Amino acid sequence: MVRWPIAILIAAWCVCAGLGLARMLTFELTPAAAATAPAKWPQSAAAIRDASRPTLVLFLHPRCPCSRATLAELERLIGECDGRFALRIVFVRPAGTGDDWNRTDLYRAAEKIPLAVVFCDVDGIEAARFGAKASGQALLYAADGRLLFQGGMTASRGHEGDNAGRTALASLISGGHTNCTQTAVFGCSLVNPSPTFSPVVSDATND
Amino acid sequence: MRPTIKERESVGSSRAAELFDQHWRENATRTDRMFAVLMVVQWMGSVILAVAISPRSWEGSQSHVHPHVWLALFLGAALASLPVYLAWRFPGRTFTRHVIALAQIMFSSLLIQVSGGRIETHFHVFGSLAFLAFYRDWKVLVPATVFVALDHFLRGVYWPQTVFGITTTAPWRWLEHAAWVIYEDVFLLIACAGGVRDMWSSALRTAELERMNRDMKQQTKELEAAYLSKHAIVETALDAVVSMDERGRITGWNSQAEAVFGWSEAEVMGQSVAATIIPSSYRTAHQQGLKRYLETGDGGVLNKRIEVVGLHRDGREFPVELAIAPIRSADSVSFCAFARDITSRQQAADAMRSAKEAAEAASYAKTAFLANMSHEIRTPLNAMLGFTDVLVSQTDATPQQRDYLQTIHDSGRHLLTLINDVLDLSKIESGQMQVEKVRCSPHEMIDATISILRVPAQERGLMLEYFWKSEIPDSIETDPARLRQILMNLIGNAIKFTEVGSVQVAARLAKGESAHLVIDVIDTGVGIEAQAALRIFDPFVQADSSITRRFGGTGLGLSISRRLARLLGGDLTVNSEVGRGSIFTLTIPAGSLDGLRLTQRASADVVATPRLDQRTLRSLPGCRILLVEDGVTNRKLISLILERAGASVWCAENGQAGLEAVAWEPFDLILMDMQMPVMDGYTATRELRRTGCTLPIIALTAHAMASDERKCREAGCSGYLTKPIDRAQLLEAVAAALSGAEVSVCHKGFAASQKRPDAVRPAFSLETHTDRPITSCLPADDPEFCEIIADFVGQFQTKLAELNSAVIDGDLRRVAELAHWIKGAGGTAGFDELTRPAAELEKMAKGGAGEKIAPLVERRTSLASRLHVPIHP
Repeated sequence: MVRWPIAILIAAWCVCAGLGLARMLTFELTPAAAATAPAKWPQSAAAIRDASRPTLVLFLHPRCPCSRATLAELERLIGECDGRFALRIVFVRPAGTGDDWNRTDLYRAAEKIPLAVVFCDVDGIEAARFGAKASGQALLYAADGRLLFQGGMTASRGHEGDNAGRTALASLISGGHTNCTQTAVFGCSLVNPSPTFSPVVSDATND
Repeated sequence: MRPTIKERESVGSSRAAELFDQHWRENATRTDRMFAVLMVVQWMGSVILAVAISPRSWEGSQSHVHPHVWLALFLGAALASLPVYLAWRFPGRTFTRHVIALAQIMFSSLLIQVSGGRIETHFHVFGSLAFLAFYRDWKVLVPATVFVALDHFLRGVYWPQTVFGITTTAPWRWLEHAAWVIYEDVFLLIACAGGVRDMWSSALRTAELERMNRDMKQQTKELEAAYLSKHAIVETALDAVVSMDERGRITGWNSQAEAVFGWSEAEVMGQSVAATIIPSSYRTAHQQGLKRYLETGDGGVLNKRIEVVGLHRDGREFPVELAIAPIRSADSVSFCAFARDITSRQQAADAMRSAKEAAEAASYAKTAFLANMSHEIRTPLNAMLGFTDVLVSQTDATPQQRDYLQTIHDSGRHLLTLINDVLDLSKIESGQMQVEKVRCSPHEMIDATISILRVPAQERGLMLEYFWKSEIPDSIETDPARLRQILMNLIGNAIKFTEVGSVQVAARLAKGESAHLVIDVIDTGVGIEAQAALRIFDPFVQADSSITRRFGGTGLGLSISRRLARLLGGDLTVNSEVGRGSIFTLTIPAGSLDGLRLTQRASADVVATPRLDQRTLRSLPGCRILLVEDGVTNRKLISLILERAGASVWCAENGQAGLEAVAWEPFDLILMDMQMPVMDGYTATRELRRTGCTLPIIALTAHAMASDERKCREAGCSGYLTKPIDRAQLLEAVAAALSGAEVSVCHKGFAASQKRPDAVRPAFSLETHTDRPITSCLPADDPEFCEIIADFVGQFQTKLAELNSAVIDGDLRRVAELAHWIKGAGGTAGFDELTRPAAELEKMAKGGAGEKIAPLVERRTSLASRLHVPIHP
């Protein structure tokens, strides 16, 4: 009579698998820390805003694996709104890291994106200016420097595919409207858990 | 998708169902194990993928192992563990494949996650479903499909942005993603059903092939057994078995063929039959016969046994018994021949033929010996007995001389009896004893025997009684001579072995399924011991060794009597007690009693029976009969008898005269004496037949042997009568011959058919001395018969004187002639007592015992003085 022991075994296995999948789902859907982006383009920002069109600033951790999905979505966004927005990709290099910190396939992939201005944010000063805390944080500013959108471009951690962020950005860049101006960001933290430097940056928007 | 029970039963193949289930299990087991391997690969792959794509998770410059790696490692292990275990321990089971299906879809989620959500990884779902279709069980697609649908449903409901990219969606939108899975499921379902059908067809075909294979193996086994059996039969056959095709080439050759013809199988296979085992002189006929059969179907020597000549390897030809059978198939014909070397059989047949010829020659020689010895031995003995009789009758013999002579006579008589018995026994045992079946009166035969033996009984002071215990049949059907012989032996023995008391002869007719005559001979003699009673019917055996000394005898009488009884269809038994006597019981078939008169039993002695001559005698009106007879008395008597019957009689003295008479006169019948001077009856008969005479010719002869009758018939006689002639039988025989019937009447010494109350009973034996007159049994009141009697007596005296002279002269031929005349004429004249002595004298004379004849002749002289001539009225 193998029926009952097998039934119990199968039931236990289902529970374990279910718990595992639930944990995976939880991890997949747990967003990173949201940005506290300034409402207007910071004047002290090293990134140059395009005054003729909206500027999208994307902050990435060069080693964040989940950000591959963000770049893939960015490419889809570029495909949808090609030339109608300026793109600035900021790779944050934490303090204490060397020049080779950014030499990753993510960085190389970002450099290949047409019209993307990619630069390195040493010590995360630029990220701090814009209040970005997680890799994949996207900030869309209008031509006049108003903040239009902040958030991530993936539906879940490292998951490509249709998502509210990309949809909202595409709508805003196209001159449309959107009800979704903020989405969750799924990516690695741009800063250390106990940052060594926390610059206080004056808020240019207060000008 | 699996065939239902009804489908299985409808197909009627339980074996196919077994095969299907077996294949199903094997397929499921195989797929389980494939998935088990895949699970491990996927687990390892997910770990590798996680390590490759997202090895670490970052927080600034600090990192730790990415949760994907732990998920791949532990969740992957968990997902793979149970399926692998079940595939190992419970392969092919339903719950195993359902767990595998679930795990496989869960692995899809894991892989999608650890691959960073690549769109391409989503194809793992569709691939997994397709792989699950390998089970050909649509039910395993259910848990996978349900998981996918549930996953999308829950995400669509609770995290729509993860599914659709937007936070709001219609409730049915989760179906869109699941629908693609279901879309694939539909095709997989069709594929599963088709796979099951294919499996079922394969099972059916396999079952059918197994059955055909089994049948074929069985048939092969049976064919092999049949072949081995037939091969063994052919190989162990005692005959040579040779097979040949239609070209005449040898195609089969068994071991016996090797032995018969000397060729081994390897040497003859494929060779020409004609050139190998058929002699050259027969080859052409063989080829022609084969060709004819192939062209026309006519096979004269086929399917039957023939004897041919075979050729051995060493060139020797030998006789062969051959049987050839054609074997026709659809397009060809072959032949199977069974041959047997019959050299030894032919040699045996030749030897048997030679042995048969030798046996026949020996039998003939024995018969001739018996005949010759019968004559050679009897002749001197008869002479010895006759002359001793003569000497004894001489009045001047002294008592001592008489005693000596009596002793000699007794010894001679004993020897003659012994010889007669030996010859009789020999004749019986060689199958030459012939018995006849004629109607005869049992009373007359018993009475005649009693009459003969009454005197010896009286001389011994014994009472001899004879009576019937039942009705007395007028006649029975048997051989009277043999019956008389048996009675003489039994009653004679009873008298011999009884010293005091009586001898009774009790006869009765026993009716039953068939009627039998039972005669008990009861004596108050010495009796026989029980052990001896078992042996007394053996030849030369008497009750004990003292019997011969005390009573004499040869020890053959009972043996002969029993054999004769059995020849007659009956038997002879004995019941005896020592000191009290014996009862010998003779039982013989009586034949048919239909129409017979049964007389109530009377007391002893004679029941008067009508004289045969008072019965209706044949009349022969107008018949012209030629009597060829040299004896005057015979001529007269026979002529008288025939004329009295109304016939006209011509006489001839010898055969030559008879031929002349036939040439001049027309006759209706010829009576031919066979022993005549000038020309005997045999010669005359042959001459008559040669010249085309077709008249009935009845032989008259004193010889009573069966060979004599045969001799007469071979000469051309159509009838046969023995002397002395019986009047009624003569007339019956003539009438029968004139009507075209065969005639054969034979007397064995005595004319027992004629009876007169006043007839003198013949003497018991010649050694009885008496002066009583000897009278003729012819009717003495008839003048013509009286004349014949007187004429015979007168001639007898003359012949007797001539006989004496012939004896003195040593003319044995003349002695034989005269004795022959006395025998025939005396019997014809009614003097039966002269017949046997005359016959003995004739044999003695022919045997050449001249010196012993004289006493016998003198004895006849004394008889002559006792002949009584009646005075006719």
